[in-house]
Amino acid sequence: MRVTKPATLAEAIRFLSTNPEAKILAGGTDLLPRLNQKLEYHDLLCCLDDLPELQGISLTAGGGLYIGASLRLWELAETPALAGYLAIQQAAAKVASPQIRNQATLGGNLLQENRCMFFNNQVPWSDVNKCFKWGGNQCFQYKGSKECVALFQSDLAPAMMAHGAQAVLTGSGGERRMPVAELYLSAGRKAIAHDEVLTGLVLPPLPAGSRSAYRRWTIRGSFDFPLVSCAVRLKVEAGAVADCAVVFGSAGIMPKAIDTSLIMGMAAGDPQGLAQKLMPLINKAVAPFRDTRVNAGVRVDMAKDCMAKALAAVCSG
Amino acid sequence: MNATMYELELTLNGKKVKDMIPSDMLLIDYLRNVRLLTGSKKACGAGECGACTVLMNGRPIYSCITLALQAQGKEIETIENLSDGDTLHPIQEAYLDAGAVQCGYCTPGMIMSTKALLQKEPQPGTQCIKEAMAGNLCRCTGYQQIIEAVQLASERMEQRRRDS
Ligand SMILES: Cc1cc2nc3c(=O)[nH]c(=O)nc-3n(C[C@H](O)[C@H](O)[C@H](O)COP(=O)(O)OP(=O)(O)OC[C@H]3O[C@@H](n4cnc5c(N)ncnc54)[C@H](O)[C@@H]3O)c2cc1C
Ligand code: FES
Ligand code: FES
Repeated sequence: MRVTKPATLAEAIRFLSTNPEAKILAGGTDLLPRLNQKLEYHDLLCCLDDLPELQGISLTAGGGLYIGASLRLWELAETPALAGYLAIQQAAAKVASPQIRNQATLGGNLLQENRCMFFNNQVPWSDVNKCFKWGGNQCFQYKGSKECVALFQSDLAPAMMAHGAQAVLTGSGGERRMPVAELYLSAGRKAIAHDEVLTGLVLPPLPAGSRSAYRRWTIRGSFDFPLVSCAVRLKVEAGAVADCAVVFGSAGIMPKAIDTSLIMGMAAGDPQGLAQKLMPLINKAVAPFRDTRVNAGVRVDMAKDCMAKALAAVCSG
Repeated sequence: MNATMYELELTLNGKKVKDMIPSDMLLIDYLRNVRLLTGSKKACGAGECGACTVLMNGRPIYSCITLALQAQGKEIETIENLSDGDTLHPIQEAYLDAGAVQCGYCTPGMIMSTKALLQKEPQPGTQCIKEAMAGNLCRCTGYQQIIEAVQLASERMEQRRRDS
């Protein structure tokens, strides 16, 4: 395997467009374990973690924030600039372990591979288990499924979506923007071209009276992937819900937002009432995904619990 | 396709070093096989245990899921930098005195995480210690002795600061 480390973004994009086999490497905490375990192979990597164009946080003309895609998760969790975007900071602080948060980037977190015990716990020499991710034609998670249904377990994606973040993609054709939610396609694919780099995220300004929170369920108190998670952003006007976003992580192949129009105008002082109203929508939002740790029913119950806790946190101020 | 070579320059344990390495070499392999610094251990190779923990610009990272070229221009510190000749660093001493070392495989990584913690937070509470050490697993001690070792190191380092 060859690895190249371009000095500028323009050089990186030129390199990617002339080397269709090149794979982007940022912090490496998602990709390198799979390479070490021989679950994946690449001839050529293009290392972007130190690109100057992908660093830093700045104010946008509209009063929001621009966050470079290679910002490390510890910085995201600790920077005072993001204090109002609490769900994002809480999500970043929960990812894995201090070591991973010191290495891992925001961009890599949003574009990490979907995970499944039948793939990630696999050994390359096994000839038993050829699932879609191995180039096979079956899914062991959902027998009969026509494509891979591995879980997308990013903690940052639901929090970014709840805050209405836009992804900024830069490629040889120039720059384009799209809501983070639109990055995610079926079977774990991402809506990003081979020669495009996720350069940053744009967060809209925080309207007055807005609060957010992120809660997740894990088996271990730390150093663990979420079983399911929920990000909530709430805007309160005169004691009533004026705007609300509820997004679930580890809910299926991509994060799932639910329709919150049912709770518009309801009293923001009654988080239990809000949660009750939204509960029935969760059954559809969270895929019936079971693994060695929880079954599908428990995952849905955990999602309800995460949402109730996140709502309680935003309602209590 | 074969690996190309990469000219790596970094500050390793306080000294500037330069090496030609294969561009796909892992940082742990560079430290152990090129620099012969075998204190840091390679165990899971998947970012799941912490035995390979070293400090990059003062922050703990897993050297098994970091390429050596990602350390370009940075400061890397390994367990070998801690003792002064035969005199152990107070953190190393505290681990021995608290009985926090059994097989010892996790210890270099544990000690590097402890060093980073005590640099940032010289007198951490138990919860703070648990969170800072969450990325280092130990199959032997049961963790209680490790928490005690971090507390003991913190007390001794504080005492030294007061004495000096
Ligand atoms: C033990 C362990 C526990 C973990 N626990 C969690 C957890 O609790 N929650 C969680 O969310 N994640 C978890 N992760 C997953 C993940 O590694 C990290 O969250 C991390 O943020 C990935 O970022 P990275 O920069 O290291 O990614 P990399 O491995 O460098 O990249 C990941 C993917 O994104 C692509 N990519 C990266 N940057 C860009 C860019 N700028 N433009 C285009 N493509 C890009 C790469 O090509 C690659 O496919 C865990 C990983 C490990 C090993
Ligand atoms: S060897 Fe690096 S984390 Fe286990
Ligand atoms: S002392 Fe044996 S793994 Fe920690």
